[in-house]
Amino acid sequence: MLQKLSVFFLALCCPALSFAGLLVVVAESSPLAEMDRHEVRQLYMDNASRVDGHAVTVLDMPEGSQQRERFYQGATGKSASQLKSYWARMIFTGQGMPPRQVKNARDMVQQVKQNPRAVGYVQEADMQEGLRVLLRLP
Amino acid sequence: MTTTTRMLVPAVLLLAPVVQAQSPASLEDMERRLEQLEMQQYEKQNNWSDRISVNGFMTYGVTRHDVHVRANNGEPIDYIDRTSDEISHRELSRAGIQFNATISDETSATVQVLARGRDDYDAQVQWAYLSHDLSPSVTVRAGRMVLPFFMHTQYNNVGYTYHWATLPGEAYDVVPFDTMEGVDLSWNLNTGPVSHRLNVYGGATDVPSFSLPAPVVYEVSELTGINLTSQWRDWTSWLSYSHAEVTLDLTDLAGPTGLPVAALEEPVSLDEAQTYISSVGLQYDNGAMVLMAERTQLGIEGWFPTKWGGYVSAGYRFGPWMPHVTWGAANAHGVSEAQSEGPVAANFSAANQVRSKSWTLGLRYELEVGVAVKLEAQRFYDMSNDKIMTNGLFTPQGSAPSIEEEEPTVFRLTVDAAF
Repeated sequence: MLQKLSVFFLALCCPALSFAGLLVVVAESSPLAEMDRHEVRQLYMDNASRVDGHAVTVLDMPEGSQQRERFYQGATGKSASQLKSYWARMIFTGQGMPPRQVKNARDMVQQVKQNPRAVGYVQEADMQEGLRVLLRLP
Repeated sequence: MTTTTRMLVPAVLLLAPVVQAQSPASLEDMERRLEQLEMQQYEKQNNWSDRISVNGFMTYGVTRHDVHVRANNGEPIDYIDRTSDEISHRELSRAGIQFNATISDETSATVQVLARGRDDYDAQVQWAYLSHDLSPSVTVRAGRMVLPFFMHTQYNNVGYTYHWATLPGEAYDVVPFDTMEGVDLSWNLNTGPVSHRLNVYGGATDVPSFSLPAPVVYEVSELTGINLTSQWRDWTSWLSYSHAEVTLDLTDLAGPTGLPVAALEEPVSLDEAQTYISSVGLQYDNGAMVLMAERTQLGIEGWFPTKWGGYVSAGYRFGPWMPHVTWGAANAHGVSEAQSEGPVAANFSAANQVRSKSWTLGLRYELEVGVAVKLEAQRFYDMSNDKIMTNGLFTPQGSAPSIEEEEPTVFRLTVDAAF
């Protein structure tokens, strides 16, 4: 019975989890307080290295990850292949390099927590102490 | 090993579990230290991969046209000097690799090598420059760079970045500019919601040309230019203007043409002729629909005709599929002005004429992120009028019969990758 109930619960929760929002986060010790979508877009697409005068290190999820695709759809409206084409233009004309990619979600959390300059994004479920939310993406 | 240490080792081994059991805090401590060590190791690797990055692109393509009449010398008719009515696996195929090394937070070095099938894959350096950030928004570069004359010229070899199999010939193949040696400065700025990239540059280059009776080289010096890319939501605009002095010594043509050297000296040969190259373009991409338009122009003081080219293109993404249609046109004027420079100049001017219009229908399929397959057909028309008799971008009239009646069409199939 208990097993059946837990399966039922999981079935209820899973869709909710997979559509849970993404959070743009920094370490507690970061001087940044909040960010709007335009600023996030500038950080992730235009090689901006500063927000409100503070130097930042932008961290990205690995290419091919679902979380990355959802993040860019939400923040910039671009699909993975459009993004690839955009960065190919930037890289091969020397106008910029894409943000550094972390290994996985756990690595993202660790690196953001350790580096007061880092800006990253995590799923709502991966949110934990030591991180501060700058923007919530749908 | 001394007797004392021999006795100490088993003692330590025996005591170790006891110590662990007695002080669980130190175990956590050790785990933390281990994690730190792993992190340091990871950061070391990360630092290395942060400092040097390698990126590449590749195109495999086949192309041919369908004009089977022969040129006056019995050879096949060529499209842009190279494509014939037989399938070519080399014309469009190419591969490039780029190395970027970060020297400091502000300084980096980049080298990009390109090998083209049409050059027998002889690798040539397209980009080799040092880049330095003067401030977070201003970057200066020095070295070899691809010329930023038109909207897509700087990434014209990276087929994956655009929807066509090749960039519209009327705008991009009329003048074979490639690289320059020089310096450029880029400034990224925002005006309200619009972000801009302003780029100024200066340098020099040589441009080989095959449109006259023998190969010649246009020496381009005092080359300076400015271009502005502005982005607002889904819109991107492009404006560029470049100026140069062009020197062209044609006295070497005395042999191939049988003309006296005196007839080929100035004003037929060009000495620091004032030259401008300009382009204006617009792009719209909302994720599904893509619209693009551009007009380019080249003018050289003297007998050389003023040439312009342009295109309007529209495409729509249905998942991985993207059908698109493009109308292109190129034209030239100035033949009658060249008459005043004498009959030789008028002849050379006529040899540099271009007039062409075309419709291109294409389909791009995104095989996976970073790999695209493209198929397209480009039909040419309107290549002559009462003033100009040309074969557009095909072997010119004079060397070949008029091909307009043949309804010339160029077919292309490419696989493009960026990695």
